Amino acid sequence: MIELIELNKAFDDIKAVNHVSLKIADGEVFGLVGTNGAGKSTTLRIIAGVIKPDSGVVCVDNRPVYDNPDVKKDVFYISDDQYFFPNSTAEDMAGFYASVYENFDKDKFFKMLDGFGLDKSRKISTFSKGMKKQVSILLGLCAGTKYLLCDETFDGLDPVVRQGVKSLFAAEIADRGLTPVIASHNLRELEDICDHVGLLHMGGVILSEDLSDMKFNMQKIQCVFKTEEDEQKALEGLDVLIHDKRGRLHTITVRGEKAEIEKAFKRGELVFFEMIALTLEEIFISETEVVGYDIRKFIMG
Amino acid sequence: MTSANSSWVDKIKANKNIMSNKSLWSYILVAPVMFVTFAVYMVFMFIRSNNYGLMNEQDAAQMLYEKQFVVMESIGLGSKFYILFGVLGIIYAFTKFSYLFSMSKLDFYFSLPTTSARRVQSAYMVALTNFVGIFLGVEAVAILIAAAFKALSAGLMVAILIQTVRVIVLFFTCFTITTLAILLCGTKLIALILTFVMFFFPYLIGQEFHSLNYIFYKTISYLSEPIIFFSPYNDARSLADYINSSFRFYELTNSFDVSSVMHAYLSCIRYDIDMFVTGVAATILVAFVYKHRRAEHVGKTIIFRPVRWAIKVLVCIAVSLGGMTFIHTVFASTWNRNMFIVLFASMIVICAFTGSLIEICLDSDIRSFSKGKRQTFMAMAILLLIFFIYRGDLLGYDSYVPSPSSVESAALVADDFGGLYENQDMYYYGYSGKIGNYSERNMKIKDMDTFLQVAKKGMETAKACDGDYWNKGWENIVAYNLKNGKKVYRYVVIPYDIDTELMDKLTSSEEFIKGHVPCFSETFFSSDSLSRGAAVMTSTFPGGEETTTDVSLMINIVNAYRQDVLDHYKFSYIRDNGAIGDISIHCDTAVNSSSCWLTVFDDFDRTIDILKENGLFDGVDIPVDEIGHISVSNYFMGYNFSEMSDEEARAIYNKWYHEGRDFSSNYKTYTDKDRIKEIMENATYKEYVEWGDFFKNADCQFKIDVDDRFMDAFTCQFAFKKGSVPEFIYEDLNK
Repeated sequence: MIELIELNKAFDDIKAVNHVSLKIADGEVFGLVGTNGAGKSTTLRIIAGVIKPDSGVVCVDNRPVYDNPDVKKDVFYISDDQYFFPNSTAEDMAGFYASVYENFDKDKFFKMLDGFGLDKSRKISTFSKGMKKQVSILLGLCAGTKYLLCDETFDGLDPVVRQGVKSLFAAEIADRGLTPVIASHNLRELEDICDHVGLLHMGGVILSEDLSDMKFNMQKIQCVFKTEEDEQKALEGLDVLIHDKRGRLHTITVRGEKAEIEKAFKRGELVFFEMIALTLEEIFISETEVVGYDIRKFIMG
Repeated sequence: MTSANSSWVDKIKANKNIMSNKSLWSYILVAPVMFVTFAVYMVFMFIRSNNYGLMNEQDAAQMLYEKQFVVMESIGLGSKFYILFGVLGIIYAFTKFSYLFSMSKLDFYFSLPTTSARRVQSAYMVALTNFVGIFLGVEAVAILIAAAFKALSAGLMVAILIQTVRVIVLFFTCFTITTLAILLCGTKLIALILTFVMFFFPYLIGQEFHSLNYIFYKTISYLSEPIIFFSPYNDARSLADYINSSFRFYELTNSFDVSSVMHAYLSCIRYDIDMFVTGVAATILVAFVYKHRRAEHVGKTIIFRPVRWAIKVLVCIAVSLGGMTFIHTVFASTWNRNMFIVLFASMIVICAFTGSLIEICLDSDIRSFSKGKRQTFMAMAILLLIFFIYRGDLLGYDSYVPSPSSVESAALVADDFGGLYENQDMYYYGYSGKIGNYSERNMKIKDMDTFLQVAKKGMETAKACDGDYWNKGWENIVAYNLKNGKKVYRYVVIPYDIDTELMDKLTSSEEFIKGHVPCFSETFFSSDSLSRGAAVMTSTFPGGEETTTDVSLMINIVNAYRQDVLDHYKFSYIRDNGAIGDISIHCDTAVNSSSCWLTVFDDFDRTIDILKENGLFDGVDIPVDEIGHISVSNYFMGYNFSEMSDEEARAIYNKWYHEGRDFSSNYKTYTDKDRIKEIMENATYKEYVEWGDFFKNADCQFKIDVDDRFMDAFTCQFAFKKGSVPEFIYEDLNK
């Protein structure tokens, strides 16, 4: 488990990480989301042992990570601009990582490269940005580390490759309990892969919750009530987070379990009723609005 | 090796891969450069040396010596390629630590499973093994080439071995200093600038303080050397220069045996000690700074505030002192006391300007010119302190007299304008240097009570001079060889009115005479030395000139001369007695030409006798009858020196002679035999006098030039004896 307790990091006068506390359980896919400058990369760098926090504790499996090679053997960090040696090929980099990470699986790496149509003998410098990302991810997956830290890793990948990478992640999680921590400013990128999401804003954690819990406890309904009286009956006692009305069509986000909410809506007479799956983005908008953040501004742009 | 060491080495080896980072291709360039620099250069120099030897008919021994010197100056202690090692140290450091300037590289390296300490250690190990491997490989080839040319000796092998260690230490030190600069900076450009500042600051500041000595102190001697510490460049250069100057010329006393090599090396080992200490200090600083450097420092100019302040203050001081030195150089010929105010003002202005410029550079923002005033003021305060310390001589430079117990030996080095043995060329198989070097090397005075009394007087007089020593006394340099190994030099002016007894006591000692009169030089005056070239001895007396090429006779004459000098030489004797002639010895070889003059005095009986016995003495009577004409010049129209005191005459004479003042002149050529006879009867040699006070013995108002035919016999001009100027001279030339 990765545990961050009251982490603080400032760069001169700028507070990059402000009292951040998070727990990342083993075997889950943790999404770290936030706007540019929210502190995602800094937090990841702290977890990777690249940056030393000003205060607070970061532990990987109850061991401090900074300047600790034993812990770093279990962590592979893919930065948003991953460095490759000058003129190196994917094969060269695999050779290097194999000398550094004892569980690095070269055969698996070459197989995966083939699968993604990447030439192991071609200089990485001639690859496109997306291809470089793919190489980074594959190197990370084959390093055999317990934790894989990905900073904006899915940006720049085409949808097909993204799906392929997600499948690989899923397989690694299933096979050996890999724990990926994925930072992104794009909630849509993480929606179908993350188990748990932490939202950072201005250096602090706004919330950190299991995605399934969030989805389970929040419903989005589109409906048309017969009368206003039916509307009042249906919504009575419900924790309505967002209520939008366009003509007669109501779009309502309500906190609560699905069955409970369905039952409540049956109290009124409805012309049309549909429960729609909430996107991660919508969940965040709802949750953060509740705590007073106008999250649309920084998520929707 | 202990198990602990073994474990440490294993750990570094295990981490070696982390820093090898596939940039070995850059090092492949190093091997050919080194190969050309050492092996190819050596071959070329062997061929050149061989051709030169054949062209100049060098004997086998000299040709071997020249080849051995090639080895010494290419891979031995005199290697001139220290710059290459320094540059390689810088390049390797930038290659190994350039990742500190890029966030993506930092992400990469810092996230790898290793510690920061091990990362540095492995970077060092990769760089060192790479460099040492290439260097040793090339050196082995160079040694084989030297062996093939039969240019090796045991001494040279020792020199090569020592040099190998020195090269590694030099590389390590340069690598570490560069690493330190890199660690202190967040951008490559600033790191490069700081690297050069760190390399040359100690050298520059040493030279600047040395220049300040010249600006502010009156007893600074040209023999004094700047005090420079923590400068690998200066250390490497100075040692190589010393070794090369020691062995440059083939001479009997030089050879590349073990004891000569070790003696030469140990004479300048202080430079290596300084380099070693610098390397150790830099390593400690690297270890300290690396612990405190963070990934987030990338992109900053100078990372740590205190370092930024310190660098700003130091650079402000260095630039301001350099500016002062430059201004002094510009105004040197027109210098007066008021210029110190200009110097002071310039120093402050330069400091302020430099402070602003540094802020602009470090922030890359012209609006930052007014930032960091506190550091600028601090630099100004230090500069003020330096200025007043120097101006007020608060460290007592101009009054320095060591305690007698701290002095091993001392020398009084002739530096006066009319010095008897000054400016004699003794370039002979590497014995390069004029009499100044001879005295400094050979005079070992132990009687410090007498010496220090003279030195004190000399310093007091020098301090009282304002660029006009000629009004006060004779220029000299006192050289102290202190027991702690230091050498201290001071310029002194021995006053004309110095206690004769005191000076006689000093100058009549064997230690003084043997160190002062070059006839005791075994390097030059030995049959072996003189036999190596075409030696000619010329005996020049007023009666005529004779020559001989008989080396054994020359040696006999020199031996007699040595005894005469030991018997008669002392301050008062030389001052009060004009020389009657001289013996000169010239020796030309294929590569060198050297000459030395030995002045003969009336009481040098042994010398005169042996000259007479061998037909080399034509008497001291001036052949007045043979003189066709004499020209007498008066440069002081309207004055009469014979009616003036010595001081008054000297003052006027010096205004003309040293300050170029024109008192209007007149001259007349006499052809009348009676006039010529009268003139010569009242004439005295003007410059055959050491410790001479012209105004005590001669009337300097008139200059007498004898017929050109006698120029060889009378190399010096004549003046009238004091109070003996014939009346007709005044009649003819002063009206």
